[in-house]
Amino acid sequence: MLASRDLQLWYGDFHALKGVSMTIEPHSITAIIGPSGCGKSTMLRCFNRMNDLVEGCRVEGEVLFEGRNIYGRYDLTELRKRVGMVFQRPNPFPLSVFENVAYGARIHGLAGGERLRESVKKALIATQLWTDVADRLSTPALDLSAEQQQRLCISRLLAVAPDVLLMDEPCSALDPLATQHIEELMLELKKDYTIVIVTHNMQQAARVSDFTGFMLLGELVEFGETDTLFTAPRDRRTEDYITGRYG
Amino acid sequence: MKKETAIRLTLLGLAMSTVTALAVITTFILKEGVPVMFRQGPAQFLFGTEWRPSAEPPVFGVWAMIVGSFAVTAGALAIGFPVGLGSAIFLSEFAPRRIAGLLKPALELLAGIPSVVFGFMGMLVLLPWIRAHVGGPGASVLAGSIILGIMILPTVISISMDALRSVPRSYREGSFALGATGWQTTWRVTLPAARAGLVAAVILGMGRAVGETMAVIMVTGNTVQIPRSITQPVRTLTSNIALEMNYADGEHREALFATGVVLFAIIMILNTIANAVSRLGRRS
Repeated sequence: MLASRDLQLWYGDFHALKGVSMTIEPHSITAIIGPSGCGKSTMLRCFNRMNDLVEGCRVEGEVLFEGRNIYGRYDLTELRKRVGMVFQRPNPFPLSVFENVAYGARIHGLAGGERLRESVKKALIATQLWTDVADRLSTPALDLSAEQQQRLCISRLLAVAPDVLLMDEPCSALDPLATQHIEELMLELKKDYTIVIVTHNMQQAARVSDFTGFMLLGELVEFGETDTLFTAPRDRRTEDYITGRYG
Repeated sequence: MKKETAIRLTLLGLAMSTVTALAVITTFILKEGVPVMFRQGPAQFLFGTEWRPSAEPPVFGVWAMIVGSFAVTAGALAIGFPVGLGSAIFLSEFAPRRIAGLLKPALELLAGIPSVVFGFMGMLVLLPWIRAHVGGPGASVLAGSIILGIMILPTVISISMDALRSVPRSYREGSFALGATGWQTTWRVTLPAARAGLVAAVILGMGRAVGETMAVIMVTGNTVQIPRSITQPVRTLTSNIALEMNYADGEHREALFATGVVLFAIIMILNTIANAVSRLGRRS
């Protein structure tokens, strides 16, 4: 589905990714873990080229999406439509609940009128937010709770019908119960979408992911099935990190 | 401890000087200006279209000047706001840092040019041009609008830019991550989020335009009349005071203070609206 090949990235003089190669399997959850500043968020942001927004950012190597290099000639709008992203802090737009979910459809001219309402409803049902907000679609999204806001951001993403969901520490601003709810949602969404999640929470990676990559100082130290990586890590540094002796 | 108290009291005194100055000015113009308004009759003073200080008895009606002030202010906004907002959007959303770094000081320089210089340029360049290509005597609402439109640019641009920059980066990221283009993001997310600040930019630009005097005197012709087209000359409230204060005495002088009261009220209303709007923006 998605794969990086010897990916190098610099922010100005800072070498943030040092030759990362990883393959993301379809309909799976892949977690990227590692200490702060290891490059895990940067790695995630390479999959939808969000790093392009950072001034002084330079990329070498390839990221293949369905076999095509997205750092070659690739339509960014199309890429981000199909590879969506959820951020660390819920960031609904300062619009109504409805307009937030309708946003993607509107900018891509996907649907209008009744079809738009249907697609908004479907997206809200998919994140189990519909029952909470069905009767207040026109209230400002910023009035929702943090968990609801994060669900809304996921709905907003689903409404443009992506294939891949990139999640950048999606639960770090949420309490444990809300975190559990979002994790359950991720497992549900896995059936239809390919998910890549960055987390500093190792238990979370262990609970939800099928594959895990451990990054350190811009390198991908180890990548493999989550069960294997957490029970029998091959690399000493991985073992140190997951047993809490590092970072 | 004693020293601490002394310092605190001194600073309090210094801080109060602003309030004191405002209080003195307000009291003074009200005391000087209000009686004549009532002698003329408030309605007659505000809505009368005749201003004849040397008639017997003198007639003081400022309606033509109120209309004049609003006409050049509206014109200034019609020119200054689109240009200013466009510049602010470019500078804060699209400009590479190098170009923004070039434009910002130019803007500050523009703000620093004395208004008499704007007026002078207007007389020398703009008035002949209007006379030749648009018609009329040259000195007109149009000339005032164009000069004021340029003069309010620094205000409009810097306040709009503050408004746009205060929109959290996460909103823009969220929009880009959904595949929106730069312009879609600006139009659908950033501008609506900055709405309150943009309204403040309009109102403060308006305040700047209403209050401007020197440049306006030099390019608007100063005829007391309600303009029927943008090529006709007008007189604004500020011009009225500045032009006649030199030689006015007695009731005429009081009537000029009364003009000041009207101006004062307009500025106060504009500021109140600006404050209310920005408070509203912060809440939502």
